[in-house]
Amino acid sequence: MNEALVFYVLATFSIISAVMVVFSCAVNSVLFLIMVFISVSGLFLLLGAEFLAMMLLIIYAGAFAVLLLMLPLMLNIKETYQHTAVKCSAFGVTVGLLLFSCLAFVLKVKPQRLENDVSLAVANNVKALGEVLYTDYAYLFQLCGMVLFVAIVGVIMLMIRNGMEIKEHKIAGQIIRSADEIELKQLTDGEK
Amino acid sequence: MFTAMVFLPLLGALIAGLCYFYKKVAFSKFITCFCVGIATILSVFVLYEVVFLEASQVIEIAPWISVGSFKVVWSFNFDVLSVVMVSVIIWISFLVHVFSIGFIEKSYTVPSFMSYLSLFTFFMLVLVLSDNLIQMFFALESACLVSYFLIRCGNDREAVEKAALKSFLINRVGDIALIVGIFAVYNLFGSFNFAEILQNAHKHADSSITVICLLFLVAAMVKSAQIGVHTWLVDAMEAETPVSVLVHSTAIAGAGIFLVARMFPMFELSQTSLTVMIVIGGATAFFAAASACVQTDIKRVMAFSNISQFGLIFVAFGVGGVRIAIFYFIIHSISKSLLFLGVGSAIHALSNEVDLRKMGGICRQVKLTCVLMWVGTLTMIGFPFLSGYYSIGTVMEAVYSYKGWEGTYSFILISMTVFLTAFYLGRLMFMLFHGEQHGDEKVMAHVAESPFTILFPLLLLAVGSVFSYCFICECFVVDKLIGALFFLVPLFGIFNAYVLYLKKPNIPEAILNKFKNTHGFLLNGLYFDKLYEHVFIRPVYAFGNVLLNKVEAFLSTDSCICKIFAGTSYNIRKLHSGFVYHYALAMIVGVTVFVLWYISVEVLL
Amino acid sequence: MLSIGLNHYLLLSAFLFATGACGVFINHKNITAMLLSVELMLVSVSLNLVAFSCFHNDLTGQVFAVFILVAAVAEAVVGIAVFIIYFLNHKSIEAENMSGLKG
Repeated sequence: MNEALVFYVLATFSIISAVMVVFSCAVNSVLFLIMVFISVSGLFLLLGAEFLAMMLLIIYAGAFAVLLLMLPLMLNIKETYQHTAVKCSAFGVTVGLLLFSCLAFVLKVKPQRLENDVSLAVANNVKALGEVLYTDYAYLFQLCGMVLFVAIVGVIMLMIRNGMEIKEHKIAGQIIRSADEIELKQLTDGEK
Repeated sequence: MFTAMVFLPLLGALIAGLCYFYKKVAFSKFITCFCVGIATILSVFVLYEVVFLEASQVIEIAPWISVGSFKVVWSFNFDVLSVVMVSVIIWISFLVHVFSIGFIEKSYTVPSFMSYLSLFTFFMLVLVLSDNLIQMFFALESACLVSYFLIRCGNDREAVEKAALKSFLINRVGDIALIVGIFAVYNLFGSFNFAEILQNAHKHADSSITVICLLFLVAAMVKSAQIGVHTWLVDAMEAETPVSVLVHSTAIAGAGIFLVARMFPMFELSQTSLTVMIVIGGATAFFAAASACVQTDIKRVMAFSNISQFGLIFVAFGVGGVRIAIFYFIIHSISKSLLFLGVGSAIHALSNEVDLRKMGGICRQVKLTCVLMWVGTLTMIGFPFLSGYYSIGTVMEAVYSYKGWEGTYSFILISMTVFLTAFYLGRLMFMLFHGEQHGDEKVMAHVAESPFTILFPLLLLAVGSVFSYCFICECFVVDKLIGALFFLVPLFGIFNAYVLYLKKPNIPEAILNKFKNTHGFLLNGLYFDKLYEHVFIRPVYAFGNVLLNKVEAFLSTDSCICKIFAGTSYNIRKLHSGFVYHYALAMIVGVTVFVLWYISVEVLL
Repeated sequence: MLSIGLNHYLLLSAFLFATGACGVFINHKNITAMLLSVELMLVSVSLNLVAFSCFHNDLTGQVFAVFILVAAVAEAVVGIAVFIIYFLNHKSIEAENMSGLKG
């Protein structure tokens, strides 16, 4: 009873936020996306996936969304083009409805139970996930690390272009003198 | 120790390869010789342990392929056969490395050359030590590839390029046979492991075994340059002398021998394949020996000599089995390497002159080389109480006691081959070292004994070729009649050569003029090159010409095809609007279509 | 109605996904909003996976949800960097003007 209530609250919350993400202006839509993240992480908790819930909350709603928030603020996006043509909206909604109805059809499929070799027998979700992640999926996990690493390198490579223009202070170049740059002159008394 | 022996040459090759980038010529020479030298010392211990202590073993290195029942493992199989082959290969490789130090002039390609030599040695070791067909195939292909590099290395003459390409391409013919054979083996036995295959070989029908044996035989014959496909080995002599010694007289050709030796229990089950082996081997031995008698390029003489000897080894397989053939192979590799390196030394002394007619009379200047080469020659022709006497004797005995027409056939051909061998080697020696000097005065003025690094391998090989039989076989007893016969035949051959080329040099000319056709026939290696040109190359060229002139001309002018392409691409171009959301739309539509398809298949049905 | 099953979660996830998909088209001039919509879709997919994982008692779904989140972060970060660079170069990031791929 309580579980159902919590689910409906969170689901309604996330649906409204999701719709608002699509239909509101730049900064607001990021804020609504954070709302979606929060409510989905609540759903994760409801499902018993504590680790994922915390991860979503901390990394996504906490850190990552701030980064997203930077984007419209930094780029100083004007609000002028926010009102899209009705035709486009109608088209988008049609596509969305079509996709949704297609996906909803999947509910009619009787899901076959797969032979699950990885079970939730361990009471602690984080522990269970860790045990699977570091044993069976160790290579994939490493691969994830590689993906992130490549992303970091890629971003740096994108940004380094500006670094080229930075003027450096070359001390060595200033100090060194070669023989032909120096000229010795005899000064007469009057010049002294 | 066992594993280190195999991987040391690889290490040397890698380090020498790095030396190429840092231009460290001397160091690359040192490191490869050092690594192969250590491996050589280890090989002695391995030989002792495996052959005398009878401690055969299989060392698994790493899993390779594992798909269901299809399992292949990198592993080294140290048994008597493979260890004996390893010793031969690694010793000769080591001596060739040392020889190369003095032989190859200072140039920027030296590091890569030394690196390739070591790499080749490594792959040959992997090849003979492999305990399954897949690993063997892999090593064989790698060795062929490296030998291609070796032939080309440091030489950009067109003839060298062509020779390298030719040897590479003709070897592929054998590989097709080999890989089909491997598939057939897997189909029949469900395994690639030699031990399993040979254990179960007798359970299968004769016909299938015969097919497999013939396929392997084709592969082995291409590698060992038997008649019909011998052309690659002759042309490959364009390479540097050390390469010819290691690659073409010992290793790649030895790979063919090894292939037959490894699968021999299977060959024994199929009389047909043994007969084919004897027939082709005998023919090869005789014709190649005859060709060697008329060649004027000194390295080509050696090439045909190789081919003839490998024919002899195949006959030995056919009539006598593995022991005799491998015994013969070992003695032959040692004495042939000695001769070949001696030839290299002489070429070096003569400033890279290879035409026999321009040599002669240099025995005073290069005494040591001359003496050592005479030792090699006498061993090769089976002079009594040198190693060659025993090896040829045992082969002859086996041939003599072999029943049926094959025995008679091969006895006649091999007798003649032995005679011809003595003749052409005598001819080579007399034309090279004795008689009058025919060379340019400039060249002759520079004739001098080669440096120590060249002579050292020769000395070692000379000792080996005289005494090696003591270590290998005590059980070979030579029949008295055969012994007497093969005392006389080679002497007769040498004597003939002595008379014809030293005492009466005008007689060969007269004979040559009389039998011009035969001479040309033999000089050009039985015209197999011409045959291939007419059968394979010309039709392909003609086909290419038709494609170029007719088909392409039709397609490339302003005909339908061009217009279709232009029109279609103009229309397709419009699809690319450049807007992100159009691409996204395409994606979403695709996803929706797939979901709809899934629904229509899974849900509604 | 009151007991929550797998279907409820699947429906919710499908709705979020569809919203994200139509967001890409509705906001087709605003490239940042497109990025947000894509994030929305990714979250809905991971919700889907976690729901399956819990109701099938199989951790694999959660493992892959972790991987999806990682991929989403990497993608979004690179995307943001590209937008910033684009903005610095062109002084605007209106999707209407981005047609460099035009054939």
